[in-house]
Amino acid sequence: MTTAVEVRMTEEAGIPVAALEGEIDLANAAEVRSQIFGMVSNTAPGLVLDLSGVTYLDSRGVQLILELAERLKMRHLKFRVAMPEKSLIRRILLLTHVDAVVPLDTSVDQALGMMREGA
Amino acid sequence: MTPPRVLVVDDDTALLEALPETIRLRMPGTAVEICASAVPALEQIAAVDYDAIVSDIKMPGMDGLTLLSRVRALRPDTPVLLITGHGEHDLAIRSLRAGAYDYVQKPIDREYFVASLGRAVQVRQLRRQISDQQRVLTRHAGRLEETVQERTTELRQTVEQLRALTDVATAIHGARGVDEVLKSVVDAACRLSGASLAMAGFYRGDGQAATLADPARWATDIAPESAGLRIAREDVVRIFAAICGTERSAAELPDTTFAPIARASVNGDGPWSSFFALPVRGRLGQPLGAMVLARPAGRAFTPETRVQLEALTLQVAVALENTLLYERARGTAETLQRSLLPERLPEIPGVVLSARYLPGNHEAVGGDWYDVLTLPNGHIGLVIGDVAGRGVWAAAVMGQLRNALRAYALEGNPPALIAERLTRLVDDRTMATLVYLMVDPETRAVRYLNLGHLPPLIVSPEGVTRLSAGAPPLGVRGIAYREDTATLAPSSTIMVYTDGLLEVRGESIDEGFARVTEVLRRCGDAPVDDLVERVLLSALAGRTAEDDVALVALRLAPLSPERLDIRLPAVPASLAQVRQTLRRWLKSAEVGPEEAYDVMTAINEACANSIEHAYGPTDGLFECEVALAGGMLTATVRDIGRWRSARGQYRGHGLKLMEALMGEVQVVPGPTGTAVQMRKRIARQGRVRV
Repeated sequence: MTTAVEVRMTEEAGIPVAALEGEIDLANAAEVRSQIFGMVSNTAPGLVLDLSGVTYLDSRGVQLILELAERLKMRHLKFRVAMPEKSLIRRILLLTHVDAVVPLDTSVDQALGMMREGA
Repeated sequence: MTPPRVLVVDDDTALLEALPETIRLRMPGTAVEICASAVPALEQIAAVDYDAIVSDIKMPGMDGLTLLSRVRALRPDTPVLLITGHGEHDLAIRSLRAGAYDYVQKPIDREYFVASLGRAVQVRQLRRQISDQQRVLTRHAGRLEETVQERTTELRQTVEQLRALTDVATAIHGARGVDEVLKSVVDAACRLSGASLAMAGFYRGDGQAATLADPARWATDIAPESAGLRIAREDVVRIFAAICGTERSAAELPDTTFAPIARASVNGDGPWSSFFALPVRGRLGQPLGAMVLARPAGRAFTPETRVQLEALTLQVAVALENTLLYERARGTAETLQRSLLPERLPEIPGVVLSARYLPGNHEAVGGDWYDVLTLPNGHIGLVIGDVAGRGVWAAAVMGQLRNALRAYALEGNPPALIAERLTRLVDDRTMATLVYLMVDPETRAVRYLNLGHLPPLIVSPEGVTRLSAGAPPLGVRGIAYREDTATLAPSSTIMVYTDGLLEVRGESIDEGFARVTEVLRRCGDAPVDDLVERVLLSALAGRTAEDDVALVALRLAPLSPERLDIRLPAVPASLAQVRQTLRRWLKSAEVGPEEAYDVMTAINEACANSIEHAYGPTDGLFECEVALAGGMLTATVRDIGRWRSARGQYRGHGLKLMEALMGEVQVVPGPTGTAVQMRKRIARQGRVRV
């Protein structure tokens, strides 16, 4: 039994969106991170990470988001994370104060809108 | 009848001559003795048992009446006739009252006298005859009774001995392994023979003198067990070797053979001086072992006991040979399992697994295999298959199929797709049968595909049924595969097997099904391991020597809502299974969805840490115990078997997250790793429990 996750990269009006589906834990966090890093170019304004399809995320997932935020910040890129308001993983991100570093939105559309407005 | 003897007592010499004369004349054959006075007459009467006594009443010294009373006391059965004077009626009456048989008045009427005496003698002789016969009868009856008693005792002893032998046979043949056989042998020998010391040895070797005397070749057992018994094992083995080395009988051995044990004492018993030694030989006469029994001085072994002990050694020989065969078969099986069969079955909470592989009695490897997999979605994949043919080729095809199936199954593919891909893999020469089952431990739904293999058997409280749907064997082209489905009752057991289990000598396949079904029906609720063992044993006795048997049983055991134990390899891939199992358990424990999510995340966090710490070149394991009682959930996660120095663990968010989710977290470093203990009060349960 292995942890299954799928990474899909799309672009909405020039802004790359990385959508994760499945579970993120020790078994696959490193792989997910390298996949996402390799897909964001310096010419893009930022990255929206869509976690709507993630059913499980542990501290390795939190670590992944924080590392991503740090890397993007070094490259002067914007970073927003989207997931539904009632998502169970939102609670995990709030408990670990990820929201202090990365703004959390309730949908990809909201994240894209905020990013276009310069946030 | 002996000639009658009569005594005549009278002081009157004329009568003392005339009366005997009359008796001899009128009662021929009668021996008459005479006596002139009462006192010497009494002496004679004491010595001789007369048939009648005739006495005068009036005699000097002791008179006739006194003599009568003495005779009555001395010989109450002897009739006495008294002679009275003429007209002495009162004397006559007194004599009758005193117990005289009759009286005769003087002058003596010879007719009357002879008639009376004749009657007296006749009655006396008849009485004696009757009492003699009675004595003989009594004696005979007594003897009869004694005989009956003897026979009953003998019979009872025989029955007891038979029962003892039967008990012994049951114990010996029920024993598992050489050590258990030896133990039951010495116990039995003590019980059967009343020996106070018994030793039995089992020998593995070629029977040459050098190996016979080698203690490493011997397994031994001594009864009674006692710390006080000081006998060197070397001495015991030397004695066993001497017994095995005898040509015909151990009775040829000189007493000095047993000298090393004669002096030993146990429980205050001993020294011993009566010894009985027996070699145990196999069917071909090869030495298998030996037995020595000892009793204290003066209590030798009876011939019956010796016969019984000889019978016992025959039983022991059979038991030891069977045990050897079984051990050898198991040894080969273990080698084969190591190379081609799963190294160990996965441990999945709520699923109990047991598997056996018994190779046939041939040199070439067969093509049977089985496999158990934990699939990505947490379901269980169960495989059993059989490649036609044998030898290296069959084994190679089997290895290929096994690995390909594993790979396709672990990708999460459904049975039909796996079958399709396997078909592409095999060439025209290959014919193989297999069953692939996907079992969901939570819903108990089964998806399966049977490619020409024997049907899986389902054992549930309702009975034994077969999953009989299926397709042709692998290797047949142009089949559009479609999976079949079934839903199992709670606590069902699935059993898959290869044809060696059914194809037992002298049985049709239907009879084989009936036999296995009967065992499953009878022992369906036994522990899975026992169930598998019993099914295997039912086939073992009459098994066709060449056939392999592979057998796997899977039971769906309901999770206990009070407790969950997980034990898995310390690799990251185990985490998904931990979550899957926790979700299932938390649901069955009726913990609400949000709290369940918190608990699952916290425990998974601790498990991830455990895995990171234990992760190394060797196979580490970690375990996770979760309990729920009185609304308090406790969880302990620890890595086991390996020690590793602390390496900045629980850095960052892990510990924070666990604390936030559970409330109470303690990290306890131990000698073999770190344990994380967590507690959480569960407020909202899905349903209020009464």
